[in-house]
Amino acid sequence: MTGEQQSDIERDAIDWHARVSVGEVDWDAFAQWLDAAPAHQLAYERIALLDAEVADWAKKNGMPELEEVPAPFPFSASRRWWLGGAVAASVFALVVGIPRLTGPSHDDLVTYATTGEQRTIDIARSGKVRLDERSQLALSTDGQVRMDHGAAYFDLRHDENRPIEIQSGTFTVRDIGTRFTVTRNRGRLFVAVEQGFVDVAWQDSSPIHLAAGQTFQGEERTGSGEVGKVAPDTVGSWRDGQLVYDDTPLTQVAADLSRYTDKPVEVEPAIAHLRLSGILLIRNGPDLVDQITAILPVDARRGNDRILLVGRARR
Amino acid sequence: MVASRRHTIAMARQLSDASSGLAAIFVANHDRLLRFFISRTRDVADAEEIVQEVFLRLDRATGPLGDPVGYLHRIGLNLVVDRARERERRIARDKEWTDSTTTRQGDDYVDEGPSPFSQVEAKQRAERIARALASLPPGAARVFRMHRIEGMSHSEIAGQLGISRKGVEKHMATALRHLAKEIDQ
Repeated sequence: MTGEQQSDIERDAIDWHARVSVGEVDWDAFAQWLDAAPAHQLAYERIALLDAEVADWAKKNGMPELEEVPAPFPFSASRRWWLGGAVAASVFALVVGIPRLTGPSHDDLVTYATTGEQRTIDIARSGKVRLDERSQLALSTDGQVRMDHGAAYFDLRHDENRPIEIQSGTFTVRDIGTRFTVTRNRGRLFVAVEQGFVDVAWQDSSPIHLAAGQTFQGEERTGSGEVGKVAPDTVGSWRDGQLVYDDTPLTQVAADLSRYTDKPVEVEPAIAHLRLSGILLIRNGPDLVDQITAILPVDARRGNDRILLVGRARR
Repeated sequence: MVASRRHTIAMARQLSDASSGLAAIFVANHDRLLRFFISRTRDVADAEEIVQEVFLRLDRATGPLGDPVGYLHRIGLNLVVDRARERERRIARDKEWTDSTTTRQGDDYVDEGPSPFSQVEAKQRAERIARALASLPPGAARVFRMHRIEGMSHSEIAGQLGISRKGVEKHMATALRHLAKEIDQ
C-alpha cells in the first residue's frame, strides 16, 4: 500500500467519524466501507481512539485558550470584521491598519486565579484590581494584564508613563484613569465603565472610546460588538454580592452566573434575545439559576457539563 | 452466543410491551445492529456483546430521540471505543509488569505504577495533545469543544454558531485531521 492510499483511507475514516459525531450517517454504507478492506476498519479504530483520548485530556485539563486566533490578519479578514461588525461600525468609526501590538511578554507574567472567593490584587503604583470568583488573569510588572477568564474590577490611577493595557483574547482594553470591569467568557468580552474613559480595540483596529455609563460587548472571533448603557453605580456590583441588570442580554447574565455555579451556564440560541432587569443576590450557584427561572419564562436543564437555559414553552 | 441473543430479544420484547418505543426500535433493528458491529469489530462474539450492552443501556435514554436508529448505533460505537481503550490500558499495564519484572504469575498482574520511562512518554504525549488542541483552527476548535467537552448536540452547535449541520461536520473533520496529523503524524 502506498502512502497516498493510506492517507486516502485516513481521510475517509475521518469523514465517517465526523459524520458519526455530528452528522447524519448511512449506517449500511458505513458498514460496507468498513468491510471493504481490513485497513478501513483499522484506520477508523485509530481515529476513534485518538478522538476519545484527546476529548478525555481536554475534559480533564480544559481546552487551551485560543489566544492566537489572529494568526496572520489579511485584508480579506479585515473586510469580514467590517461586515461582521456592521452594527458596531454604524455606532463608531473603525480604522484598520494600525500595526498589531504584540501581546504582553510572558516572561514576567504572574497568574492569579480564584475559585470560590474574590481577591484584591495591587498593581504597583497604578491602583488595584478585584478578581471575582472563578476568574483568572495575569499581571506583568510593566502594566500589562492578560485576562484569561471571568470578571475583574479595575480601579486605576492614570499615569502617562505607565499605561495599563489589558489583553483579553483578540481584544485590547486600555485605561485612561478610571474604574471599570472586564469580563471574559466563552469567546466574548464585556466591558462596563463606572468612571473615566476606556479604549477597547479588536486586533489591529482603531479603538472604541467608552465613557462612564457605557458598556461594550464583543465577540473575539469576529470582532463584532455593540455599545450599550449602564448605570455607573451598578458597575462591578458583584463585589457587594449583587448582580444588577437593566434590560441586559440573557447571554451576558449567563456569563456572570457561570462564575458562581460549578458548571457553565449557557443559553439556548432560541432564547438568546431575552433580556433581564432586576437584582440577583449571589449566594450559592443553584440558587442564582432558580432566581432567573423565577423572573423569565425559561427552564434550567442541568447536564453533566453545563446548565442550559431553555424556553419554557418549547419543551 | 445464539442463546444470549435470543435472551436479549425476549427481554426487549417484554420491555417493548411495557410501551418503550426505543426497545421496539431495538428489536426491529437487532439484526442490522449486529451486522454493523460485526463490520466494526470484525468479531462476531464482540459484536454480540456490544449489541447486548446497547440493549442494557436503553433505559438511559432521556427525552424523545430524533434519530433512534442512529442513537442505538452511536451507543454501540462508544462502547467499542471504551472496550478498545480498556484493552490498551491492560496491555500497557502488562508491558509495565514485564518491563519491570522477569516473572509472571498466571494472569495476575500487580499495578506498581508507571515506570519513569513511560511517565516521560505519557508526558510527551500530553504535551503533543495540548499543542495540537491549541493550534486547531478556530472554527474546528469551537465545534470540537462544544461537542466533545460540553456535550452539545449537532443541532445545538449549528444553532449557536449559525451554520448548517454539514458545516458543523466539516469543522469536526478539520479538527480530527489536524489532531491526527499533529499527534500521531
